[in-house]
Amino acid sequence: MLALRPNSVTLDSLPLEHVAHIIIDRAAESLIEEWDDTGPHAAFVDVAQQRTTIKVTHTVETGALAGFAVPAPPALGASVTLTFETALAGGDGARRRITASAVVTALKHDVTASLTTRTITLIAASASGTSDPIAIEEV
Amino acid sequence: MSSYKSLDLFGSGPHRFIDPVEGQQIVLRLAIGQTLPGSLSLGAQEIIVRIEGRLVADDDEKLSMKIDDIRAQLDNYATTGTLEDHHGRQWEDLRFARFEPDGPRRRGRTCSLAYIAKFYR
Repeated sequence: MLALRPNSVTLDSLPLEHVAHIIIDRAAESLIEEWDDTGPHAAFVDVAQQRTTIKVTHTVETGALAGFAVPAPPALGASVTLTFETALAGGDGARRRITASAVVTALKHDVTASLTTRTITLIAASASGTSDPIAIEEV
Repeated sequence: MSSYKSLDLFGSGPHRFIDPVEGQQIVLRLAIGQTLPGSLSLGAQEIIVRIEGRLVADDDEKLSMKIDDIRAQLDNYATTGTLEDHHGRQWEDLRFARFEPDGPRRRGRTCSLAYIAKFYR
């Protein structure tokens, strides 16, 4: 999932300004592949464990280095709730609110002559283990 | 389809047959108390056919039911049966002796359990 210039981005209810994009990637963390005696191709494939990684990239005002409403970005290991709104065409039609419970695993800054960005990497966690940690609802 | 006593015990998921070791059962003389060099034969190697596979079900409960079906056959160890693989090869007069889970249950799209099953003659 890719959200370009999402609106109303918050981390634990604190607004996060100037968000350029949010990327939600999913990958198999534990893959089951089994073959049987009938031939060379895998006869069974399942994903027993999966990882949902969220990357929030926002611009940071030069000199301020505080894109948050609070002085510091979230600490590594902090468990936070990320929410944002997005639409397919960036308009008001078919808007969705995405909510994810996640843990901050990395903070990275990229500085160029004209732009400073901070990327917050989070790994989503499911409270039950079975439900999708990414909740999507119509706004 | 494979079968044991004409029952499809393992068909819910992929499984492979490992042929038994053939020949003589050899032991070191030292292992049976003889202080002599070399080995000797105790007789023909017993036939052990292994199946390595994965039971697959929609959920935990249905997987447990499949294991119950297997356990019922393990409880019938006293009686022998014919084991047949995917290609019609048969081993007769085998006893279903062991069902060994090979790791935890895995829960993704399905609920599954890797295993090793052993049949002896």
